[in-house]
Amino acid sequence: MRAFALTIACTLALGACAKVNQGEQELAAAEQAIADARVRAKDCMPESFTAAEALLGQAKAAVAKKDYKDAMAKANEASKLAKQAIAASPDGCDKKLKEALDPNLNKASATDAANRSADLSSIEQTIYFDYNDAAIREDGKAILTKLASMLMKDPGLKVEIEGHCDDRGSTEYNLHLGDRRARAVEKYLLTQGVKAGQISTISYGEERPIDPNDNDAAWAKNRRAEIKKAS
Amino acid sequence: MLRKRYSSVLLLLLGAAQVSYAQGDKSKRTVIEIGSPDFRAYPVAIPSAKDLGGAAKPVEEMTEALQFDLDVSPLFRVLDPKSYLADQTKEGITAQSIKFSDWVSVGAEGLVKMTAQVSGNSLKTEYRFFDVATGKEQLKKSYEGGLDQGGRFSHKFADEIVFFLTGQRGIFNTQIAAVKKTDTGREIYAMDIDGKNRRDVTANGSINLLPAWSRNGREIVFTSYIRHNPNLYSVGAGGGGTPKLLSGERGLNTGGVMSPDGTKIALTLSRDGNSEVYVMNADGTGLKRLTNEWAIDSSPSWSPDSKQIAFVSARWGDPHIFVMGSDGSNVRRMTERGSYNQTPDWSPRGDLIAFTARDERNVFDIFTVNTTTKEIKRLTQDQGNNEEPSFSPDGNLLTFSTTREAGASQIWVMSTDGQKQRRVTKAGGYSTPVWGPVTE
Repeated sequence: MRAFALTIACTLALGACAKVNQGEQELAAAEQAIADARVRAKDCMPESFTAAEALLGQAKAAVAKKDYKDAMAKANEASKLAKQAIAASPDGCDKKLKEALDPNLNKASATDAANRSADLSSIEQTIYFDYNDAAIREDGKAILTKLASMLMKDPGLKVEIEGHCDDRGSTEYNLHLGDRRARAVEKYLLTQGVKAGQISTISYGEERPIDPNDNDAAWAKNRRAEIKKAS
Repeated sequence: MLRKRYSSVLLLLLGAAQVSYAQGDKSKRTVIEIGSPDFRAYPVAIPSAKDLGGAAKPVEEMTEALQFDLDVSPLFRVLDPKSYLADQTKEGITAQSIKFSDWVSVGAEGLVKMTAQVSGNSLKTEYRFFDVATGKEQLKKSYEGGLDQGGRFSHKFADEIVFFLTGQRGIFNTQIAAVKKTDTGREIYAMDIDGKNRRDVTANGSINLLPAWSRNGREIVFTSYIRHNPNLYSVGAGGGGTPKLLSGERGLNTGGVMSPDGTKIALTLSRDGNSEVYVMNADGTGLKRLTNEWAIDSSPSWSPDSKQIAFVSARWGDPHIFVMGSDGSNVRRMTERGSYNQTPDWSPRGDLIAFTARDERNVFDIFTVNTTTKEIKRLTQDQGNNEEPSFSPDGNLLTFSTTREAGASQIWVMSTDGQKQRRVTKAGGYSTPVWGPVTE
């Protein structure tokens, strides 16, 4: 769980650092390495993973203090540790981790399938998220990459990104989680080259579920960002 | 001390019309204090109110309301009406006409008698409270009003009994606001603490969320999508009128909550790309950011002295309850256990923060953490999901939402130790209840 939040944090932090550039690449690399390690190594090499996470935290703290040299060093060290942890972890570690984390919560397969069958010719798309997480999944990246190219071809086109959550957790926290999801999509599109003026975001938290039922399949469908055409 | 309380009782009674005060011997009466070493709940009998003519419905409402109030209060133990020996059709409501030995036999120390009569559009009621051991009438009050006011009169008399026995103001005449799902979105309602007299606070067809009471109980601060972006507004607690915009920053403007001294509003904004806790003046000016983290910081709740703020932060990975000075200084973590702690509500007494936690089975339950010792107590268990606690103004009760009955989310109240838990609403779809202040 901790890793989830840190990853989100980093994504947003990079937004904040974009004007600076210094240390950005190193931080991004460390973030990616730790995101990979979270899936593939955290459960098998928990100490290395935690250490890598801590280093990333220190790197970010250094950025905040504008000590970019220290930030780069710490970020590089974090990447190295995370990669070592992955290398030292056996295959199948990710499966074990997911089950250990939350046996009932991460049912991505249904929404994976939904994403694969999505009609990519439309600007209006939905991408799905893991529980209590605002990181863009691989299945979502494919959709967003296509979406970004459509937006870049037509600068007059505008979209609003709606962030949504399943109904577990508090009303207010879920509003803020939905906000993070919408902004994560926005950030992804911006890094692809879409102009900021084409995108707006709004969070509906848990207030507008696609499926009102209380089960894994419903929750998976409700943890989403909807890209809607805006006027 | 006793003398002071005596005079304040007198002042209160003198200030109210239609009140007489009979034979009570204050120098000998027991003063109940929750938490004192010799505390035990005060056993009280509440036989049905007597209909003196045309008041069949009002007497039912009066009886239900008074029984609800004293039943949920940790101060009292309401004796089961089925056990009462006295023949209610024959027994009167004056000391002379009551056979107190029958009430001693069922274990009562206190006895409440009520009558009601309807003439035209007016309901006339009378309430008396007796000390069973001495057979003395301790309190007598008459209330007159509309035909639907029976329950409200009982709440008032329940407050009188509490004040008589404890010297503290009762909270039964307060309101609970909550959100309910509607066909078009979410609306905010206010209701008496037993769920009666529900009225609309919003009725705009949009999504209205996270109500909080102003200190005088006259306004509700809330988040609404009426102008698309989720902004913070205030509106009269009686409903109607155009909501007044308090904060309309880009992104979320949520969880606005007024400080106990009435000067500030704490809220959560995502305008800087991430959710952070802010404070501003009660009129919306003078915005100041208190937190600066890459994770979510949200859901502020004030300490009773307005000097500290409890809030949720995911800065260490999972959401946990933290406390900081109201200027953002001296941040410290309050919950060391659990992996998903949210919705802090600081007790008006200052000693506890109630919150929602997800346990290892992914079930949500209500807990309290002691702000000094950090000791955690669990108040709900094995009763569906229980969330979003909010303290009563005296700190003796909590209102919360629960799915314990058929999975429908309803509003309940419970004593702060979790021992007594009672349902308030009679339908599902409710969430985020908040307890309003005691008003004049």
